[in-house]
Amino acid sequence: MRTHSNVAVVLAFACVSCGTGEHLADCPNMPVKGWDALPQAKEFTALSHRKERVYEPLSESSQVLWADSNIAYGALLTFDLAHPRFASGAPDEKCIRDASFMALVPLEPAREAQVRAFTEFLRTHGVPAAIAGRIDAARENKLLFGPLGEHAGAVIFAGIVTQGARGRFFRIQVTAPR
Amino acid sequence: MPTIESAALLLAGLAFLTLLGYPIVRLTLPQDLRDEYAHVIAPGVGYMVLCLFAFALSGSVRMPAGAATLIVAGALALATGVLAWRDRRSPAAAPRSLALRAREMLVLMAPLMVFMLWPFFLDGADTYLGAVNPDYFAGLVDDYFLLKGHSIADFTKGRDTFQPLDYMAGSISSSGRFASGLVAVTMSKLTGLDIRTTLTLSIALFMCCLPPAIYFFSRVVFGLERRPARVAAGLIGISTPVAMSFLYFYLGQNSGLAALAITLSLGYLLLTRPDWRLLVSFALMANALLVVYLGMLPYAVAPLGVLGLYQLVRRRLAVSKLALLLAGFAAVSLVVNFAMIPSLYAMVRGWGNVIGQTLQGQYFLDFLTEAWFPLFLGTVLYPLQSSWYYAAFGPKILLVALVLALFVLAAVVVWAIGWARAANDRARVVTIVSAIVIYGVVWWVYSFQRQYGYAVFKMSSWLQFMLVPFVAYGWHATREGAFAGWKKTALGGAFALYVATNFLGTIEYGVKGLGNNPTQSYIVNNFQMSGNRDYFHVADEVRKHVKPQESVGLNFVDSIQNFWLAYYLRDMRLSLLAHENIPGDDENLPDIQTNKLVDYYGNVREANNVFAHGASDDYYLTWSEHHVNRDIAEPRYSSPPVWQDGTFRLFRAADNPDMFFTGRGYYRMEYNPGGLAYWWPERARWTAEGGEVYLLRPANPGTPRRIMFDAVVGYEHRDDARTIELYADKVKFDEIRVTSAARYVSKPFVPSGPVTKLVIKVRERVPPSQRPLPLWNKSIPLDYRQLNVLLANVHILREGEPAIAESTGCGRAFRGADLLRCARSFNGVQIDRWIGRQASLTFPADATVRKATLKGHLPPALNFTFPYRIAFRVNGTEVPREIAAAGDFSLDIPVEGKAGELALEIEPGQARDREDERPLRHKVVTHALRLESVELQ
Repeated sequence: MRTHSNVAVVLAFACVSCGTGEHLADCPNMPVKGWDALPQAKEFTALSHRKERVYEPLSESSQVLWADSNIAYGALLTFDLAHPRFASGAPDEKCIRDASFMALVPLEPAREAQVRAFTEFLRTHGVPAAIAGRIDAARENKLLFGPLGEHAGAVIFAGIVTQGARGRFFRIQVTAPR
Repeated sequence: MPTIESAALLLAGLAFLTLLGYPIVRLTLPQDLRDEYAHVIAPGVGYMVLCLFAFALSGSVRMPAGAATLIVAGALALATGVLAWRDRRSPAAAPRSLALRAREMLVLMAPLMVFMLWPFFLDGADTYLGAVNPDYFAGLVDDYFLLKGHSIADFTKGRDTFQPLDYMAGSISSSGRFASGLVAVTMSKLTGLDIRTTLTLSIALFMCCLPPAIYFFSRVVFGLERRPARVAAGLIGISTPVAMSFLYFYLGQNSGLAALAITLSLGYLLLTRPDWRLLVSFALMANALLVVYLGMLPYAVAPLGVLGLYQLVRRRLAVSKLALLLAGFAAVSLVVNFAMIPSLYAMVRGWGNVIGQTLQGQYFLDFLTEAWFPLFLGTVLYPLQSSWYYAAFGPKILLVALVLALFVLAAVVVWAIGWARAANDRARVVTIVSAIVIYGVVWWVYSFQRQYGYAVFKMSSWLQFMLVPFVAYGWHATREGAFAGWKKTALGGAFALYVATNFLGTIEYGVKGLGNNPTQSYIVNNFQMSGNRDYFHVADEVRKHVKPQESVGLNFVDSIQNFWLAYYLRDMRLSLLAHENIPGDDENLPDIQTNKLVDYYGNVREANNVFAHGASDDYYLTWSEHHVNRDIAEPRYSSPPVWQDGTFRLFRAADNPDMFFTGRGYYRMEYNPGGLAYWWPERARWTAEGGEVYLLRPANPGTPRRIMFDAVVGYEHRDDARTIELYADKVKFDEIRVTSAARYVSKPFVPSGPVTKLVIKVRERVPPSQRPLPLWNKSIPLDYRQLNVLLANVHILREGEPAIAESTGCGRAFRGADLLRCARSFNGVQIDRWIGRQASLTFPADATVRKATLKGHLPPALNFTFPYRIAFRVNGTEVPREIAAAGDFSLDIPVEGKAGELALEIEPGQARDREDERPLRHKVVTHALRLESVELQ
């Protein structure tokens, strides 16, 4: 069996450089499923600048990010990845445990469309309409970033955050229960 | 003593690597190549195959890495023994022949050893740390983890936050686990030396293998004669970008420098004279490069793809033969790696993400600018602002450097064309030209499409192997009369310029690497670490005082030094009081109310230091008063240290209440060596938004404290003033407006418990400084930092305690920079003592003071109306004065009341906003008069 798996990986080696992105699974405790498809949604195809941050022991997670610019980004989609078997033989096995999107304020039309698309994604993937409505309200009223509700243990946050070097962003975040 | 020991270790290490590499070069190099090159590439091949086989063995069967290295080293040494016995009667085995080869190797390495490695010899293999790079420390911790009996395939993460080192060990990402660390593991296992010593030694060994590799490359691929090939080897030994790579103390990269040249050369040989033995050697080296430093592998193999096509087209290589070579390469690779393939796949994916990423951070941005050519050609140093010529000539020197670099570049182009015309084999030209085109395209993509400064920064060191043969050829061709007249003069000048600037740059990087003098050395992360043997004794000394169940709080200026201490004290219970994050993350100030942190990539997370344990620590270990690495917050300890030496002090926590230290929000420490014509704090940190200060174990809880600090207003905001808010445990207790520069003592606050978090918050925001003459990538700033406010001299005062000036014992006459150095407080005074619309100063003064004489200068160029009126307020009493004409003035002011200090407020009648000086000062300063001295009588 191990031999076969190695052969399969040999074949996969050939595809490493051909640009096919790996499939990112949702963590079992992440109640919102199907995140992997979100970057392909038309509103997010403009986020063409990708980055992976390697496993970081203090947070016990790695990250994959997509942005609309390589340095001074105005929109950023982030998946926070857990490594459930880091210390037991599969350090690179990972799954999406948190997801977030943030856009520079004021929200110009393209960024506003992205915020709406992210909210709509939550709405169509099981997040109660009441919580999605609170995200809309937070956006309209420019509320500070904070928890808006829980869905199957996951906490949904939204609101304005400020990064000293980058500026003010409207941010939506879904955090799976730990 | 360390010099001789380190030299002996280095020579022994080279002999050891040669021993390991000998079986490979003996068995895989054809006879004609072996005679000239076997000894030249044996050490480089030695460490590569050791890493490859040990990595594969450990990872395949989950064998402890230490055991795997010993088995591989033993097997290679045994093979050497067998082969040496078999060859014992060959002329090459004669002692004289061996001595000649050893001498040749030393000649090739000598320039690098002398001009680049001299700080390593001076400080010793046991202490030299180059730029004190966190990457090196990550490699050290990973090797420490492997030496505890773990295999290459093992990863883990600790749980005990009182053990910071073990908490982090084993948690490196798979793409960050460089096989080259196994050289240090092997040497540590064989000699019993500390892994830190053998890791530093291994980097020096990797560097020593570079000149011979360049000789091999220059001879084999460039086709240079022996003499210019030796010159190329010498030039790499003084190459400034290579010296930068050494200074940065990269483990993987420095091991890859020689490997890249050797692998490309072997690939060239394989395609131009196909041979199964060369196939094996090339396959082994390419696979070794895969695990040693994967990022360089494409640089070695991509030009070979073009060469392979050329050989096919020119029918120098049959399709069937090429197919056989590829199949053979795949077969060797599979045999070596089969059991490791899943792990390698993960590593390749990780590297693919690193290489392919297009969202970038804040580091190495200079390499994306027009400075790249001077940096690549070694005519300037990185960072540009931190070099002697920048200090001497200012920013305009960059333009000069660019012109000089273009001159050298033009000469390199002429030499390259000359070499291509003279090359006796088109295959060489195809290989080199395709390499240049490929590397050029990569540079273009990273510079302009992805704007990935880190990648271009690395390329500037990696690609030196392609530059120096051209320069060596140019030297040789000029000498041989290939150029005449003005061309000879110009090209000779370019060669001399190249050698001189690279030589000086290499020496300057070496001086910086000593880490003793912060001036112009900010490429070094932490000072007085290289050459500092106090670290070796600190554990023994601390253990004499701290019981096993007690803990020590580490209070150092950044995470780099904190974790180095955690390494030396790894058997003790430790806390990191603050600065547990790498400096690039530590500089973000968390939200005051929510404690949420938003990093450069937008992540919102709790600013939680898992290694801090409140006020529970029994001891504090911190810097000594004589050490350079002192922070801007330094308590006046109530009780003397229980132990101290030249670097450290150990205090008992219970005897030292009111402990305070900086938290997040600050950029790195900066140190002013003095001697400036204006005032600048001795120790300071820039901040973008403000910074945290923690107070532990307040004496007499419930009684008030005040925070004091020095602040200098920064750049890129029109106003030369900032609003600073002060918070204690989320509650705002004070707000001030700092104009130009200030020393401020706050209103009182009451500590609420054993730990109080104070925040000095700056309300305004500033952007980074823009480059003065951007030619491309104009959005890249001169300095990514937002230099908003400079903070220094932070203290927490008990009620009634006077403010602490930077200098004490100033007497009664305050002249020049002493005006600000000695003042108990001030505001509105510029660092060069100009005063704008309003200023205040407070000086210590005894009750006998009756008069203050103020001397200064009123500039004629500002077109003030005379008489010029100034309103003084002395200890609350208004004293108006008039000055009749522009020029120097001296005013006597009567002093009354208020024993203990003189509070002086100055309100000039007229002032001018200096919009004309904004391009120079990056803010609008206001000028009224310049104060030269205040003398109390």
